[in-house]
Amino acid sequence: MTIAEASARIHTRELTCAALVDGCLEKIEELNPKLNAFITVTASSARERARELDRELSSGRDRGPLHGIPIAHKDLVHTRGVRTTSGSLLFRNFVPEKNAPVVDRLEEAGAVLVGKTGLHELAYGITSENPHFGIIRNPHDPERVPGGSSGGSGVAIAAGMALLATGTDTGGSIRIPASFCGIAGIKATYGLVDTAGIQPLGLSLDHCGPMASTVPDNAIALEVMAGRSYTLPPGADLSGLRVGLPANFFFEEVAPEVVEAVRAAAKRAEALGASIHSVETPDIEALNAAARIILLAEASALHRSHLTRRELFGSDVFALLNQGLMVAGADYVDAQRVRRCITAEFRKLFRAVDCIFAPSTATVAPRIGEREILMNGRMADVRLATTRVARGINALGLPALAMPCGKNAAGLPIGLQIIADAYREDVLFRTGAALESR
Amino acid sequence: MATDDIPLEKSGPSEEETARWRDLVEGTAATVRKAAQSLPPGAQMAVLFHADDEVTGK
Repeated sequence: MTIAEASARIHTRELTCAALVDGCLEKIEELNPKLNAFITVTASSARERARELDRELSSGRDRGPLHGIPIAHKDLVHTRGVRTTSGSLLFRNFVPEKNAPVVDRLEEAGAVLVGKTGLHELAYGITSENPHFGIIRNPHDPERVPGGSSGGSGVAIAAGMALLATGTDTGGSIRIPASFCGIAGIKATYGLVDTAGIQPLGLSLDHCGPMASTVPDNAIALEVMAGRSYTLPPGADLSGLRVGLPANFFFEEVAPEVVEAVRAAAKRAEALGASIHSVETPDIEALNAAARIILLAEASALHRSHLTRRELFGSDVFALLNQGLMVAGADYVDAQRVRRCITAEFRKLFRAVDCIFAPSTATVAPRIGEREILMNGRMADVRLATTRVARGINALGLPALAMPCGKNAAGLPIGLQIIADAYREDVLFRTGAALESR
Repeated sequence: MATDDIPLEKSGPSEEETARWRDLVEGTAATVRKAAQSLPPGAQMAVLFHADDEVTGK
């Protein structure tokens, strides 16, 4: 069930908030032992809150489209009185005294917290194979990863354990699990969603956003999270929309089945009235390298005081945090200079097009434990291959929507990424919703 | 053993790890340096937009 459907049924009293929340809690009870999406489940407080919200509706208080909607927060988003681990032993007993502002906004809008979702340790990785809280498994194939770092949020939505989840995205951490789990998620423009009260990873790269089963559900959630209004036009008409299809980089070193699915999505957009334009993007290899240097340095600045305690870290995160200490200050400065120039060049593309279509990930979900994947005849590092088409967009700070655009022969989801200019989330929602309606 | 009791010198990276990591960082940094060489004179560092920014936001 989508948020829009559930909300309509709640508001016509065909469904109570309590029954909706119970349904999600039952799914969690049934599936979490197998999929490990949640670190903490807040069943008792969720049921109590749902009953309160039912009473509110009966007495005439309507909080809007999220009234009674079950939500899961990624376990690095501070929740008052509910343990927030960041998927790390460093924070295994941390119980915040107050909510992150984005949690307050969602709570005020009537969302009901059903639990805290697992993630890659400290949000620093894309597989969600967490050495401390267990491996999170993909509901489409439990032998495969769900993506990360917001892996638990992606699984919770895909498996119907919640209707809405929060994610964070520093180098693809909303878009990658959305792609691998076959759901929709948006990394809104940098700064649009307040990241206060959320465990940071890369201070100039961190974004927060919603994850849900459909594009319109993401629009409903982002309205609350960002305090903006996104009105989706009725129907599926993309007349006048100019879609850019990159002629370079974004379709190179990408699995053929992914290339085919994304190009098919562009064809669908064209059939709905959009015009397709070939665009040449600036140097994304250089942008990715800049983003990696920036993230290495920023993440290590946050966590270096703990690095003397190796036993507290998984080996991959320990390695990355140590690498960050090796970044020269001059290289960090150069990375930020490169970032600025490429951002200016990239934004010029939006004079000619309204949005750009690209893959969300270069492949479908890798197998658990897989460190290298075969990519067009040669072996590629899973982390670098997976973040290749996502990471640079964080450095640009531009909004990007990930949504399903088909499945491969094995039934695994393939993700489309739609990128727009700063603060043009409305373009992403219009485009994505139209494609979904086909 | 409590984590506070872990001897610091035994929990650091090995020389082999350090060398491997340094190579990885150096490879990425070299790409950045090369890109930086072709920046226009006076190129500045990134300035991020924020939602409460008077120019770009609400």
